[in-house]
Amino acid sequence: MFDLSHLPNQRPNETVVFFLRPFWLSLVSVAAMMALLVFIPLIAALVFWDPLFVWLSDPLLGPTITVLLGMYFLAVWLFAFMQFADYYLDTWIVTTERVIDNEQHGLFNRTASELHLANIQDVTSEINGVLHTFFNYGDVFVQTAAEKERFTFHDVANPEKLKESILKLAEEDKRRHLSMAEQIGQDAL
Amino acid sequence: MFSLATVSFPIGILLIPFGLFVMIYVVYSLFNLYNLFRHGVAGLSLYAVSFLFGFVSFALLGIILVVLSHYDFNAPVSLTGVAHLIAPRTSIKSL
Repeated sequence: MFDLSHLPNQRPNETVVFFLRPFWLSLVSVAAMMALLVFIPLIAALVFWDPLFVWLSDPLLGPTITVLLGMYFLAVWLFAFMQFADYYLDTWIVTTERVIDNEQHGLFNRTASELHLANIQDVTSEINGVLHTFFNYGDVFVQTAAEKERFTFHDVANPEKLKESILKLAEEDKRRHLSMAEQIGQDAL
Repeated sequence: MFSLATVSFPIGILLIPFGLFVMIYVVYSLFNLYNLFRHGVAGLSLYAVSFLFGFVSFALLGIILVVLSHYDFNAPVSLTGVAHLIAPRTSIKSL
């Protein structure tokens, strides 16, 4: 578990500007699917209660159905929890020095990478789709000079505003690095 | 003379796949909790969701075990009974 006030490899005077997760709507769609998976068998059980009661009274069929239904509901609940972990562990942290990207893919696959703001060349935001437009969330792509691969913030809220903020932070960081370099040059002379 | 119809087994055999499933469930749950607590950001929501998951898991397992406790798992079931379940109008001889 990590604390936002104590980031790994934190530089002096580095502060967190944004802490981002995918927009909450992506979690709501998973919750809606889970609700369907839970309520459809329950409604079916209520509708077909009479034959189900007879089956459950059977010494062989009763325990078989109970075991199968139990396994089904446990699987749905575990799947929901895994989806939540996937959502919760996808984070992007923008500080005054760098961008940290943490992405969880399933149970055993995790990617953590970071880039320095001074290396940012271009930032693009994209809102694509009806829900994305209505709720104002989408992707932000960060292109660096050093790497061919783009950094992608998936389904974040206010992508336009985030793009502007990252560009502004990158400019400030470049200016700070430039003034530091000039200071070092003057000291050397 | 040996007859398939005379072969019987206790219903408790059903508990073997269920037990295996619960073991897998526990392992996956622990891995998930490990990931959340190892890589997640400290906060109340993390503890709340973990508690909710544990609570609902125990509740589900409790309900399943209470329902299952009403059945007699030592009662033998013959293949004739299984055949009757698969196809109610057929006997083991015709299968």
